[in-house]
Amino acid sequence: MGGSPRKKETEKGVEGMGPDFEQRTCTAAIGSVTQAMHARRLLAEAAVYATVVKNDPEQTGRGCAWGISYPCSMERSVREVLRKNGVRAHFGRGPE
Amino acid sequence: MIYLDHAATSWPKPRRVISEMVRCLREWGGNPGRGSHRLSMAAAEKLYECREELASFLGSGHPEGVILTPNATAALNLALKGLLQKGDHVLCSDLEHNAVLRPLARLERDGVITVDRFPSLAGAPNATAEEICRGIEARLQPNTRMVVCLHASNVCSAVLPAEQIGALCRRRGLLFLLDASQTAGRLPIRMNELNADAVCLPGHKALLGPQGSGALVLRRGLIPSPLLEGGSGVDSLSPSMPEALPERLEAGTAATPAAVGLLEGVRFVRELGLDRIREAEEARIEELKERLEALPGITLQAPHHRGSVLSFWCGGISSELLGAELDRRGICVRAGLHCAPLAHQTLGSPEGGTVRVSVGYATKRSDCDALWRAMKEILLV
Repeated sequence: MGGSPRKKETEKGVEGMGPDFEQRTCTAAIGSVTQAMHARRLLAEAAVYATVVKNDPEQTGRGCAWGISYPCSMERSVREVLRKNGVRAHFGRGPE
Repeated sequence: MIYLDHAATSWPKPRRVISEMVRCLREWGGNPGRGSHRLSMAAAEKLYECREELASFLGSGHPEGVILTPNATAALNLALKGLLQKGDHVLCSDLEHNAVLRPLARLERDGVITVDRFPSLAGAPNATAEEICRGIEARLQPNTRMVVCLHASNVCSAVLPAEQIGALCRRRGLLFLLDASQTAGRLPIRMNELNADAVCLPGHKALLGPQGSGALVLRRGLIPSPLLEGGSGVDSLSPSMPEALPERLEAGTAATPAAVGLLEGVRFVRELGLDRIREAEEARIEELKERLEALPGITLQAPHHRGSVLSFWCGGISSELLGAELDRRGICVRAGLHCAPLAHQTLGSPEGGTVRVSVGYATKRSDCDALWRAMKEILLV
């Protein structure tokens, strides 16, 4: 299972990728804003563009929480980079 | 005005430190790690940059382990009180500042720990790292858990052999806590090479940041208990602090302008180069030593050490009075015990302490010349 799709970024797709390519974004929950920033740096080094987002406290059940948002198409890379670097992330199916 | 009190705090700060702090107040004024709006995120980004810079500068490779504190004293309190447990035995040197001695004394009074001191041999011109380490070995007990010591003294320029002490701690399975108050920004500190588990530093001394900045830098996997509890921007529904660093140890709103100033100070120091700074500072002190030594009645404190600090006293004149006379002539030095009474006792200073001259990256030869001339005038030479 993948991370949760967050929103449709555009109906036209990504420039240069053809009209059929839908750029959806997924999110992964990560402990804190600092850890989310750390994750973002690691992903940038792996050429994955991610942004730090604050998650909805209603969804986390633990109050304020942070995460990263990334293109769903990059999910495999995101999981691999975070796992290799020991960053605990929650992709909607339990911590990894 | 001539400023020769850099061991207390550096001054003036580089212009870029000040301008970045002003920019922070103007442009990144949100509360970091709280809201997700742009000002809050911009502030959080700056805090993270500061952690990254310090982690890289100290070779910890662990930005989340950089805990931002108001000063080195807060960092030391957090490390000592957050890591030590009931029944632990701790060793510290006989040169320590009150920032180490008082938290240890408090824990000892409360029946949590026992403490012993190892000789720094700072008064001996030819003391070796091996001799100092033998002094530590001789005082180890089965329940010894930590060695905590300063990297360099704030009274004389003695530097403790951190690398050898760290190696000893690693062999013996002890925690090694290094107080880098006088060396961060002066001497190279690579935590992995020193085997240091934690390093405490002020941001406002040789790192050229503002007062109100400092850090506890932890090796990966070391997580002290929090001293403060409160808002952290994470896990708000839990009655406890979050598990994750650094938020676990940083309750309440962070001092973003201080962190931004520290970030810029560290960058400035790295661009200038530690070797260049150290060589210039040592050259100033060595010249001054020669001149002061020649004045009648002046005694230099442990002059065999090379560094950025020189203490002296003058028979028959109290150090506070000498300090005041220098101030009247526009020269700022520090007189007295320098919050390090144990170090003065170890080094054999007079009861009223010493006059301490400490130089910084911007100290000019003419500043030290002015001090020498003023001393001649005061001593009627």
